[in-house]
Amino acid sequence: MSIRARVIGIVARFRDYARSVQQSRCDLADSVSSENILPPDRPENRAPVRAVEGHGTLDLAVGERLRKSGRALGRAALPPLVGIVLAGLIGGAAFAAMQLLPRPAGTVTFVNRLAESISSLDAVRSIERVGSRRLTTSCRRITGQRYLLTISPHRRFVIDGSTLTPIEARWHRGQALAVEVGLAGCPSLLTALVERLVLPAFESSMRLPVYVGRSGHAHVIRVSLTSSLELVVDRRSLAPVAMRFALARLGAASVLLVGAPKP
Amino acid sequence: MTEIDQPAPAAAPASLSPPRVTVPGRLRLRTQALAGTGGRARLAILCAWAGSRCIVLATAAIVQATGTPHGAAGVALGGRGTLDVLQSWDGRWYRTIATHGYLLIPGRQSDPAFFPLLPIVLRISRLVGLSYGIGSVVVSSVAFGIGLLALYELVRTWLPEPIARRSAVYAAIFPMSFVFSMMYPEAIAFALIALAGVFAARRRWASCAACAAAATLARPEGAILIIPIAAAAAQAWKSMPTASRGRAVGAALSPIAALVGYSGYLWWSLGQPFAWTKAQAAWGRSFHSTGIYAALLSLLTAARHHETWLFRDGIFCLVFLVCLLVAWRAGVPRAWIVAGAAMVLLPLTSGAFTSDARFGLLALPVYPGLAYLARTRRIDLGIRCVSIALLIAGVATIVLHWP
Repeated sequence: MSIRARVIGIVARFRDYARSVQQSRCDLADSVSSENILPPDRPENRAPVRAVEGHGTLDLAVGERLRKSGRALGRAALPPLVGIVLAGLIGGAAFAAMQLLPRPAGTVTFVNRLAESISSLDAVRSIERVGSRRLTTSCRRITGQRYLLTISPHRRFVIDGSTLTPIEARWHRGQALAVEVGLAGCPSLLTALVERLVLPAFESSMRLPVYVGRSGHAHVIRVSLTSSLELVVDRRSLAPVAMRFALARLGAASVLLVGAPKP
Repeated sequence: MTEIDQPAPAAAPASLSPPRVTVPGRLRLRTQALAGTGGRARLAILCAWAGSRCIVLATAAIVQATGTPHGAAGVALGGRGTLDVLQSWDGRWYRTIATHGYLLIPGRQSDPAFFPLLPIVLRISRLVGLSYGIGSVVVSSVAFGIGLLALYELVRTWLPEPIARRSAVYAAIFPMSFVFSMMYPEAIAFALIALAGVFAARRRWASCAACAAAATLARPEGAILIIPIAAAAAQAWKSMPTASRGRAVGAALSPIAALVGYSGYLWWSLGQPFAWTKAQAAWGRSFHSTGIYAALLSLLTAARHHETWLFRDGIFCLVFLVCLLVAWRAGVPRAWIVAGAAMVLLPLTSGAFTSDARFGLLALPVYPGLAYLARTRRIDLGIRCVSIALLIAGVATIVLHWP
């Protein structure tokens, strides 16, 4: 073989090599552009590529299905949501319309709540202190609105809760003090007294004489039941604590022993 | 006997169709309705309304002026106003609410038992210069007129037109219908319940929701509207767009929303959201499982306990139930029958028939039931004559017993 023929052969082989290298570079570039850095000419590397492509198709279908079901869910959930919003608006409108009605004074509603808290008590005893004397009163319901007050020592009074007026009339004469202060020992009678205060105040849109104060260490509220009689209740629980006569009339107090609320 | 019912014209489909009717079509329909059978029927209903209200007002004025019957309990006769009789009994409570608001007196009868719409209306009527007394009579009577027209429209969607017309006329002259001119919220509730039904049939859900909520604020029976509205919504569900479905759900929930609004107000105002149920309990109005049995027992022993007025309520309860049964047989939708039966029977679960004759007035299917029974002229005439006579007797005896 001549030297010339050998040179031509070498050049031809070099061209083939250059072509193959160029081809492999193009393939590599293609694979990189499709985010696949693995060489494409390996079968073990081709399979995953197809698999990835397959997963992509699956993802698209699942996504579409999810989107559709989400839309269906949204479509199903929308009517109840709209309905609830509409109902809420109606409820709000009803609430707003009722603002046209007058409201009782805050003290009236407070004393009314107080009456309710007293009426829910099951049993209450009271200890009256009139000067140096100390009397214990207990209250027991006989029938309906009739109550038996037992005042130590051995004094008994039957009081009709529906006709408290005669007893009230005697307050101002200073008679039968024990009975009157002893009313505090009867939850229902005490409630009746408080209610007698509430209704006229409600109907005349007046505020009631209610004062926040302290009795010893306790935080209390004082409610003036009459010009001479004051009820002291605990500020938090509204439980009655004591009833006091005005000092100008007679220095007397009834310390209330509050029973448990009715079941 | 002569049949007085004509074959049903195209009125019922016409009243059902409006949701998709264009404006010119609606105008045409309205013109046709005014000129045709519907117009004549409305005129007849308005005449029945005006006539019955004249009877009620005139009888009340005579009772007030003459001071008879004697032995009146709870009503001051010969007082200042000509129509004080119509403002008696529970009117005092509604007046108190309008004047002073709500207050719950523990363990006693108090005003949260009375729902707020009538007092609100009374306060508004006061703003336009009417006294509470006159305002209540005017508002109740006008609302009743609107209610009769709405009842006619509603029954037309269920039954042939002649029955719808007779239903409204019978409602106008019903023996207990004097309550619709008293200081009671029954007339307003009647109108709102009927309008809610009409709007539900026409698929105008927003209006239906507003009427149902207002009816509930007038009387607790309004809450029972949830049954027919939910049934109407369920029936129309598939053919409605999503937005309409939402409004339909809102309409069905609106009675509950109104109750929640009322409870919220009581909470805000009195600190007790369920003050109205507590107050109802003080009136003996709380549900008991053996309530209906106790109610029947109280009816059986009523004469012995000198409570003969209970027989009036018992008889009307029976009439209502028979009419509901007839209405069901005639083809009134079942949901409305159930709602009507609930309005009549639920009060009995509190153990008494007391005032059931008044509560049952809001059971709308009762009237088409009665109208269906009166398909011959003779029965029709008989019902009209007896109703008017009993209506006069009812007004004359308001002073003897609460309705």
